[in-house]
Amino acid sequence: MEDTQIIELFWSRNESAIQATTNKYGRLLHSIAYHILANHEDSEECVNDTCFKVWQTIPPQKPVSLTAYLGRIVRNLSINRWQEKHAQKRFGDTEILLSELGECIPSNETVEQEADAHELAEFISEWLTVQSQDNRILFLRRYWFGDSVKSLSLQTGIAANKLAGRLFRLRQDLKSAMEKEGIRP
Amino acid sequence: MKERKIFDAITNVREDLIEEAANIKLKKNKQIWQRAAVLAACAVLVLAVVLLATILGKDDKQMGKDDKQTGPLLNVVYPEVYAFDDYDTRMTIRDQNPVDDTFIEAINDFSYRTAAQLLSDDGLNKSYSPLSLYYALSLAASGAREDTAAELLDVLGVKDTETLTQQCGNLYRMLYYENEIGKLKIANSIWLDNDYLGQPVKFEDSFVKQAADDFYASSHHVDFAQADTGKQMAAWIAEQTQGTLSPEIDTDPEQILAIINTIYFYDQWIDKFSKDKTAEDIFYLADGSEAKSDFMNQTYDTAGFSRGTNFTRAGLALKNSAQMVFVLPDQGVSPYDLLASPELMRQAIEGGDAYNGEVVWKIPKFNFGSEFELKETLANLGVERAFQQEADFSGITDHAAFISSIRQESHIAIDENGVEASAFTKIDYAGAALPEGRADMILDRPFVFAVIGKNGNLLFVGVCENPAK
Repeated sequence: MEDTQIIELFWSRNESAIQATTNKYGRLLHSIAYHILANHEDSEECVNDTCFKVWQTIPPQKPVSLTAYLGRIVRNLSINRWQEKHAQKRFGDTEILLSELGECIPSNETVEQEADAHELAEFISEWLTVQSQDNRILFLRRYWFGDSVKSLSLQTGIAANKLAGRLFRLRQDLKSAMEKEGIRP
Repeated sequence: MKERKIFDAITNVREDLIEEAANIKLKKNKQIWQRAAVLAACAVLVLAVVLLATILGKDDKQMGKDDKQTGPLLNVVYPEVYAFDDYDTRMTIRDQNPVDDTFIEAINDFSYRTAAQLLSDDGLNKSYSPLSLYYALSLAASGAREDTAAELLDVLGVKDTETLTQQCGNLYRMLYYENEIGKLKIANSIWLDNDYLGQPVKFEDSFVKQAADDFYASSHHVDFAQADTGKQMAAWIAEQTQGTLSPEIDTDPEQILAIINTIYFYDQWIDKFSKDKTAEDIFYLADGSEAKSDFMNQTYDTAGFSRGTNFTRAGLALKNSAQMVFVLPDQGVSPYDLLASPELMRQAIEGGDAYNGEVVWKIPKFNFGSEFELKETLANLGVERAFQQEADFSGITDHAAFISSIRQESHIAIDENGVEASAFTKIDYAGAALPEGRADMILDRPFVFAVIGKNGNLLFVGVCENPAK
């Protein structure tokens, strides 16, 4: 079913919108949540909560990209749940992912200005647009969809260490770009 | 927490960028198989651990801490390669290395029994190499004794270890090739740690030698307590599969032995697909959604195909005498209905009524990897002892050791390539029976594929659920 049809179902308060969303996006949403939570039960709950949240917000929202809209909700719900569960001890793939992202952050000494969330998202979007398409997709597959380096390696046939090297250089490039612009999270 | 802020900022990057990453696949590594039509690789890793109690109970003073060694122990010399058109050498090798039909049948029986369990409906693309698992298990079986050996031989379908090792050696030499067109290389290695938490572990020289002679297995002394060992093993796999696979391997300090088997295969279609005819179209997924994929197109005026209960099957020949078969389930039939039992699976890949007629091909290009944990599959076939503390691998080491895990990782890809060598481009079907209908091999919904070696062995078998993944 086309996204516009699914959105229309939500707007007409037709409950089959939930089923259509689950049919089309259930697996993707579960995968995003699972990459963060590493637990199928928690991931399933996050996917259910995502559907509930979408039901609450469409209407009035009318997303242009349903993938991005649903993905953002499930990412937010999953990272919140992950932080609640691992407030005391952190471990697993999400810890690795966050620690990789930590490498992109300029230090307080080099950059004074703290960007707000919106500015930072805009800045990263602009930075992504100047990257090659392959690097842009690689960065988002790893840090937005949460694909592991190993799974990316299996998808592309490129050795995991080579992909890890490319991701490292991308993180360093993002960091330099932020330093140059004088912003930090 | 600043990491959380950057995580949130990435969550909110522009929608068009997210759509792009959701819908466009990362570029594939093309270096390895620029001229290949089919490329497949897989690695099986068998890990064995030893019990602390059994070591401490031994009074084995002759090998102390100073004996700790790492590095290559025994390298192997692979059979000599020969040119693609060197027919005489090919025939000589075949004559010198007879492989019994009963052995081929034993491997195929093992293949269907394991594959029918592994190729289950989880919505993912899957590729499994039964032959790779067979070789890794055979190497382990050659060092097993008593009940442990009996169970392994039973599942491998061979009466004794002598027959097993001799036939594995012959089949190895028979299948092995590397020429200007393609390559099929089975590689084995054993990794031994002669020091377990400061206690010596002794390995049987006869096992190491036999592994080299009959399985072409190189031996390596390592220290499984060192993180670098996993990297060394991964590097060996990457080397054997020309970078197609580079698994992450975690070693365990309690481990004393690892057996690795890899199979690396590439070849070219006898009749190359024209890239001009490749076009994007829709692939209908099992869940009712759609994916876009590049489809290769070709029509044979007269070619063989088979029809059976709920399926149509046809094959495409590869230059070095292997072939790739595609099984298209009838509309409304799941590939897993065809793979529900070893018998049904054999029927789908070998059975059905044979016809000759027009065959219209539309095959999605695909390129994916998959992983399996195989211990449970083998346990379901009756292998118990090898996984228990009572296992007897006294042909390998005098300490009690048992298999703790077996896993396989594989990768498969197909595209249009073939060589436009006129001698090979046309199959002459003159004299064939009159056309008996037509087969539309329009593979635009989940289907089963298999790469079959020149002896009829299943090298790879799998299910393509979504070529865009």
